[in-house]
Parts: sequence; C-alpha cells; structure tokens
Amino acid sequence: MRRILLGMILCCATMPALTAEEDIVLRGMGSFHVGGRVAEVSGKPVRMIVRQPGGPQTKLDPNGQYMVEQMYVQYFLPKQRKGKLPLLMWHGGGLTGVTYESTPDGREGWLNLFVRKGWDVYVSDAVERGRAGFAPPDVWTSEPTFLTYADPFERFRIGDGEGSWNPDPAKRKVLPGSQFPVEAYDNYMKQSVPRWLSTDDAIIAAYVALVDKVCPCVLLLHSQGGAFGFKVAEQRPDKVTAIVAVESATAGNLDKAAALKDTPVLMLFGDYVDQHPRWANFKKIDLAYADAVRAGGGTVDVINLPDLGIKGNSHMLMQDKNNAEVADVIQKWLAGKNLVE
Amino acid sequence: MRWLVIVSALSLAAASAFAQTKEPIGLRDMGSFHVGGRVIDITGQPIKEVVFTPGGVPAKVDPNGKYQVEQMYVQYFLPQNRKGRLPLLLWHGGGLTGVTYETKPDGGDGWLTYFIRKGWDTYISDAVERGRSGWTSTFKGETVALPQGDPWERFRIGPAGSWNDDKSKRATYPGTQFPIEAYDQFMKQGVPRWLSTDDQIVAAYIALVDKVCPCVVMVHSQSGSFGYKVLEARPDKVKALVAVEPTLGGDRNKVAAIKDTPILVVYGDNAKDHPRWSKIRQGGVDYAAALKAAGGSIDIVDLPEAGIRGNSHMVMMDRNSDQVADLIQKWLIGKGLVE
Repeated sequence: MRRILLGMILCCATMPALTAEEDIVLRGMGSFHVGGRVAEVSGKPVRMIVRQPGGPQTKLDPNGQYMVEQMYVQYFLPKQRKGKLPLLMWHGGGLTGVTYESTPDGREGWLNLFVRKGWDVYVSDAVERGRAGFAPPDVWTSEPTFLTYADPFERFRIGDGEGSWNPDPAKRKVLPGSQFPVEAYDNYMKQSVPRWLSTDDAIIAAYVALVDKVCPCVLLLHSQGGAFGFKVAEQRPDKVTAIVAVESATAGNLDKAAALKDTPVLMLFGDYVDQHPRWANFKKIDLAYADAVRAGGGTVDVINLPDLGIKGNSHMLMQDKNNAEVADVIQKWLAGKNLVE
Repeated sequence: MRWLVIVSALSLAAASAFAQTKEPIGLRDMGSFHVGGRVIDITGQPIKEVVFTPGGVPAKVDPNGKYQVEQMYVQYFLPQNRKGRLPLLLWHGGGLTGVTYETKPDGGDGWLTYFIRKGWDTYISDAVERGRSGWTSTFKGETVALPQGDPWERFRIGPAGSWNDDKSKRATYPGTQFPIEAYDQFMKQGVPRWLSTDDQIVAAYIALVDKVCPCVVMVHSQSGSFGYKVLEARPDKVKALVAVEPTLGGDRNKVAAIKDTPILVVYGDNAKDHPRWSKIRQGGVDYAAALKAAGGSIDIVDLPEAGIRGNSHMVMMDRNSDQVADLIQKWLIGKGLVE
C-alpha cells in the first residue's frame, strides 16, 4: 500500500519540492479578510431561484446590505524567524497572490523562498481579485476587463513584442535567453483573474487597513501593486519600513514622495526593459519618482538585473527560472538595510 | 525594535496568537497549482485602448483571441509526519471559496490546520469561477451575491425571520455554536456565484481527482452534489466521501457504481425542523436508503444525536469545530484510512 502511494505521489507534477529541500516548519499559518464596507442595494425585485439543478426553490431578495471591497490575506510564520518585520507581498494587475506561490512550471515561488529565509510572509489578493471576492453589479457599475493569451506574452516581455505570440507554441517568438518557463505559459494564464479599472481607491483603502493591522513591515510590490504600495506608503510612512518595488507599473505621487524620506526603497528591473517601449516608459515614471523621493531626503536604490549579470528576466521575475537568484538579490538588499537578524 | 514587532504580532487577529500556543506545523512541502479548464476563441470584437493604472501608459487591448476559461485553483500542504493514507481534498460550498476551511471568522484554527496537524496531505481548492480560480464573461446568466442577512437564516445561525440589520436585534437559535460576533468577518469570505456552471465545476474537480487521487474527498453544502457526481465518475479514485451538510445527494440510478466507497454524512443542529433544511436532510436520508439497498456503505450522523449541539450549517467555523473534526477523524480511522 505504502509503495503504491509513494509511486502515485512521485508521478504527480504538483510536488516537485519533494526533492532535497529542507522541510518548512511554521509556528503559525492562517488567513483573514481585512477592510471592506457594507453597501446598501434597494429597489430591486425579489426573485425565486434554484441554486442547484434539482434543488429546492429559494427566495433571493437582492435588496439589502452587502459586504464589499474587503481583501484576502494568507500568512505563514516560520518557526525560525529571521526577518525583523513582516514581509507583505502584493501582486500585479489581473492576478492574485498566486503570483508568489508555486511557479507555473511547478517550482517554489517567492512565498516559499522567503518563508525559508525566515520571513513572516503575508500574501494578499487585492480587492476584487481572487479570494477577496468582488462586489455585485448593483454596487460596481463598471465592466471588468479580461486578458487574451497573447496579451501578457507580448506585454510582459516573454515574447519579442507585438506579434510575437502565436497559438502554435512552435511559432511563438520568445525573447532570446528568456528565463520565463515558456513551456508552462498555459499554467501562467490559468492564474489570471478579471480586473476592473475603477477600483483603485477601494484597493488602496484595503491595503491601508492591512498595513494598519500588521505593520511595521516591508512591502514587496509587483507591477500594478507598485502604484498601490507607494501610495499606501505615502499615507503610512511610519508603518512601511522598507519597500521592494519589482517592476513597478507607475509609482506614487511626485508631490508626496518626500513622505518616504525614512523608508528605503529598492526598485528592481528585469531584462529587455529599455528595448520595450511600454516598459521603458514605466521605468522613466518610476525613476522620476525615485528622484522625487531622493529630493525629499529619502534613499532609492535602483537595480537593473542585467547590470549584475542576471539576464533574461521577464516582467514575471518571481516565476522566471532564476527566481531564486533574484530573491537572493532582494534578500541581500534587505540584509543591507539591517532588516534581517 | 524587537518588542515593537512582538507587540504588533500580538495585536493581530487571535489567529496567529492562537497558532503559536500550539505545536509548530512541519511541512515537507506546500504549494499551489491550477488544474482543468479549456481554451476558447473570441472573434469579431473591436480593439480597445486601455489605461490599466491611472497615469499609466495606455495599452492596446484586442479582445479577440484565445482565452483560458474554467480552470480551478488548488493549494496543498504536505505534513512532515504523514498519517492519512491518502490525500484529503476539501471542497467548499456555494458562494464561498477554500477559505471556508482556513482560519475561522473568529480567528481560531479551522479544519485545514486541524487535518494537517493530524497528518493529512491536504488539498484545498476554489471551485471554477470562485476565488483564485478566476472567471470569465463566458458563463451564462448573471452572478448571485448574498446580502448580509441571507446566510444568517439559510445557514441556520438564526431561525426564519431572525435577521435584523441592527446587530442588537438579531436572534439566534438557542445555544448556537456559530461565532456571531464574527458574522461580518464570515460575510467577507463570500464571493459571487453563477447558477449555470455546475458542469464546468464538476469537470475541473474530475481533472483534480485524476491528478492527485486515490484520495478522500470532503464536501460541504453545494459541493455535496459535486462530490457525488465526481465519485460516480471516478469510483475507483475516490476512496471515501465525507459530506458535511450536503444540499443534495447523488444520482439514484448510479448507486451501484459507488457501493465500494464508504460515505459519512454529517448534519448539524436544527436541521430537522428548519423549513429548507428538513427537506434537504430528508432527501439525504432517502438517498442513503437507496444506496444501502444497492449494497453501499453510508453512515448518517445527526450531530445532536451524538451529543454535539448548536451547530450551524458552517460547522467548520463553529466554536466546536474541533469536536466535529474529531468525529470525522474517528470515522476515517475506522475505515482504515489513517496509519
């Protein structure tokens, strides 16, 4: 029996870390929702609905109070804590906290890697995404957006710009030397969730509620999460002790950047950024914000990974094949800021 | 500095403080994946310019093309000292996600950590369209979101007519085990649901079973129906089914196919006299009789008759959730599924 089970487990692609890695020992793990508000819906007709084929009719009155705009957070607290503060990982647009979990090709992601480095890690799903849930159309009246297969392939610097994606994997033009696990691109696309373009304020409000609950802390931000993280830090500079912004897609408010004078910032960029018009532009916006933080007396370190000899990184650095190497660059910076025991 | 950190950790929801008083959780691995789903084509739609972040650079979005739809998210935790002989899959109910089994709304440890501590390789999933599984506009019909008062009465926290928007005027069943002071926190776990997606949900659960089973499947509420359908489709892979307050049983024409899989059905308190739950429970009892007649093995436990009182529909969030989990664990031991 035990032999059969072992065989079964080994056959499954889902558990690659059964390799030689050390066990993960946690003093705690759990989850919670934070933030949100109760919204009122009125004047809608009462309906009878069958919730399951064959099930009984039940009354559904859409009027009343709804809990909306809360955010989901899952945390893992290693037994041997070495990070001096909690490390909060915020994902980018159209995605969830899954960004930081197992990579699309089944390797360990930054969640596991930073738990192993001894950080209390909090991974969240922004308002409207994933386990945060989303508000009914009576409350949010705008339409969500969805991404095609081609979109992230071309926009996230996996393929060589517009026209690089092809339904036939053999015909896709991958950037030379790309570290993205292109053979698992389908699995990456399964991580996508819809996104609204009208919810930034609600998203930021919930992030502020999270920071008020668990910080002082370090924020690790990715892409759209960067824009949120810098704005949250401007509101709570005393609670955000350091920021790691991984390919931040826009940053904070230039006129509020001085609030970050005591919050050291690392801005990290992957490969092919300067040759991709859209990313070159984002980087320009980020660097202008960095200048504004510095002008206010703050510290911003900018690392272009290719300058360190780390080449081939897509926009999804935490899922790239060299994600552990990039995590080490971040860890070294955090240690340099005296945030590691 | 260190003191500050400790103080802030203690000020967290009871959750972490709670966990820290217990033994550490040793895992030989943890991770997640998506399973199932399919790729569809959308054609004939106009190209849009979209500014994804205010102040950001506009991006051209062509909505035509291939889309990933109907996949399911799964997160797994594999304890160091494995004692469950098979993986344990936890499937949530309608309008909810795998969060159902995580930390309880009042911050106490839920069934996820209970069963990991008992040595089960535990797989928690978000059904298709819910939570981290994502969704697309390709589903038929509209979404249903639950108003604040709906689960209060339908999930037997209070009887019919007991909800009030004013907290101080809400009535409960006497002796309820549901942590009513954390009801808002429970409502934050709610996600919208479609009423047209059962087939897609079942297809992804079958893909999961094909990937990680043989296994034990635990279902709750709406997923009771999904659990039976998947068991009927894969009777060789689902080695036991634990149905906690299932809203529906299986197909009476397929009982012979699942007779070798032992089933435990658990109902909480007040189910027999709640207008809706009395019908649901009677359906479950009738189904069990049909299954037994075909040679199947099904045990029905009404918790009050086992001396466990006050349980709502959300048994895994009730104050006495560990006591109910003990009963389930004991049943699993009795079926030879624990080393």
